[in-house]
Amino acid sequence: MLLSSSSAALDESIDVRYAVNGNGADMGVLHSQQLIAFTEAAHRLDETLSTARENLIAAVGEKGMIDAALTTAVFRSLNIAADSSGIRIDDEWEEIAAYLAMETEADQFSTAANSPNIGNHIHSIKIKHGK
Amino acid sequence: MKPFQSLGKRIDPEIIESFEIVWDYLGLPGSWWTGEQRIAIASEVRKSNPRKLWENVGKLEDYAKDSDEILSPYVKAVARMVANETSKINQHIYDQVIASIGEGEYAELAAVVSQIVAIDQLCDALGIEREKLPTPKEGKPTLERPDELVTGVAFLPTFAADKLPHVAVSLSLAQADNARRMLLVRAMYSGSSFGEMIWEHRDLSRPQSELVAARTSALNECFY
Repeated sequence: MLLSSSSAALDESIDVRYAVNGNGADMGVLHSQQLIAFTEAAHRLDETLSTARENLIAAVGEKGMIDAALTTAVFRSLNIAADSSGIRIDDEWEEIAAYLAMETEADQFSTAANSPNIGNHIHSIKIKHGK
Repeated sequence: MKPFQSLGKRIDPEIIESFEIVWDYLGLPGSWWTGEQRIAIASEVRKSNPRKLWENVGKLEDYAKDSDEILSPYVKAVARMVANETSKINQHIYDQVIASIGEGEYAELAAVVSQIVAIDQLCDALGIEREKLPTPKEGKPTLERPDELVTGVAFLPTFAADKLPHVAVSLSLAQADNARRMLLVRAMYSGSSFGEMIWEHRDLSRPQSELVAARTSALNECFY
């Protein structure tokens, strides 16, 4: 959601599907492939991490790589808080979350069950667009 | 020597300060656990990371709830599930855990996990050594349950979200730890610019940061 909004603010056109799946090529965010490769390697903490880190530094610099490390670390922490507590999507974000879920298939995650209204929104959107 | 000195040359002082605050309180008695138990929770999480693909918690009911150790095998298993298999926690598992350890204890466990994971994950991603855990201090938990909690935001009772995102109040039952967790979020992510779509306080653009955030959430199968 914030990926879409912030890209629009910069007049960048992006394809949000690639934020969730794939290697990020041609998604419309600068250096997306290196950012995604680093994020995935930092998640796995495997032998690909040092190469992914070096490739990201070559693309965005040392400070940019540290920004990416900070972001992936703090979002893992946020994911833990969100899903261990079972929070539902905030009321004002439900409709856009439903649209994004349809684009990315994120509603297939089991944690989507914590936000039961999203299914209703998706249903309404499909009816509205004759799908 | 103060903790996090090795990070200090590379990372903003505000971030280091937030880590030091977390470390100052991690080994102290909380609302629901002793300092020794809180460090044992952090240690269990640390030992289980990075998780091997074949290391799954499995059924929580298979773990013993009584033990002479600082934490029972059951509580250790809950800590590992919260840290590494969070997306498996549904209403049924939550109800089961709460019946065994209590709401406040569960909220504080999750808040401790979320703090240690944020800091350890950063060290791991940067390829630097994790900071030594603080020494626990003696004392009893305060057993303070916040007033004015509401239901309907999460499995757990929370403060009313008012104008805050739900994630900000998600672990309200562990009020002080929830505040420190959100201090980390502010320092490591948004600063005072959450509502701004164009960021100037970070080296990555906001879309680049949000791409990393979105992929991380997808890897953790977090719909929120």
